[in-house]
Amino acid sequence: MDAKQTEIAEKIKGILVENLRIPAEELDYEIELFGDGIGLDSIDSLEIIAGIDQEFGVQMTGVARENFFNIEALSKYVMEHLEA
Amino acid sequence: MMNIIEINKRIKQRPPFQMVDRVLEVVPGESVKALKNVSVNEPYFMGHFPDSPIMPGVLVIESAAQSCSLAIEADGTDESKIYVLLKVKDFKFVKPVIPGDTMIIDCEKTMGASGLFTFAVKVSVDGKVRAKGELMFTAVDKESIYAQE
Repeated sequence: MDAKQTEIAEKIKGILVENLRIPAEELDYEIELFGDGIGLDSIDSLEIIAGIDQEFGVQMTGVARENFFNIEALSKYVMEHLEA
Repeated sequence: MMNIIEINKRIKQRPPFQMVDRVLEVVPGESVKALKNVSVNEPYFMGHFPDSPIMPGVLVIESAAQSCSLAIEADGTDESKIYVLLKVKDFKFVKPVIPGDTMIIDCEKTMGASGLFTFAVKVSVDGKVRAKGELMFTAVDKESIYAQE
C-alpha cells in the first residue's frame, strides 16, 4: 500500500473503532472483517458503507463482497473511486 | 405541530401499538419533538406489572422509534418501502415511566448517509430525563422482508 492508501486505511480503521467499537488492537489492515476474522455482520457492513460515504463521499451500496474483505480491500476501493 | 389525525397519515402503527400522541415540533429529515401520554389503561400495564405498572423499556424505545420515523419519512407515501429499526445503541432507562407521565420525546439526527439514519434520542417527563440513547434505521423493500428463502 502506498502512502495515500495507508492514509485512507487508517481513516477506515478509525470508522471501525469509533462506530463499531472494535478494539483498535484487534484490527490490522489484513484481518478478515466478516466470517472467521472479526466476525462482523450485515448491519455492521451497512454502518461501514455509511461511514465511508460520510468520510470520503464514496458510495459502496451494492458493491461486490470481496471489496469488504479487509481494511486493505476497502481502502483500495475507496482510493480508486475517490473523486479527483 | 401535528395532531393524531395528521400523525395517522404519516405512520402506519395503530392502537394498541401507536406510541406517539402528538408532534410538537418537526424539522423534516432532521429532528422531531413528540409527546406521548401514558395512561393506566394501556394494555401492557396488566402484566407489567400487576401491582406496579411500569412502562416496558422496549416500548419507551418504540415510542422513540415511531417519533424518529416521523422525521425520516418525507411523506410516508412510498408503499413499497418500510423503515425498520436496525440498531439500539446505549439506551439507558434512568427512571421508570409510569401511568400519568407525559413523555416528551426529543429526536435529533446525528447521521444520515447511504440510506442509514442515526438519531440521538432523549425521553423526558416534567423536564427530567427518563431514558436516552441512539437509534439506527434504514428503509427496506417490503418484498425482501416477506420473501421466503
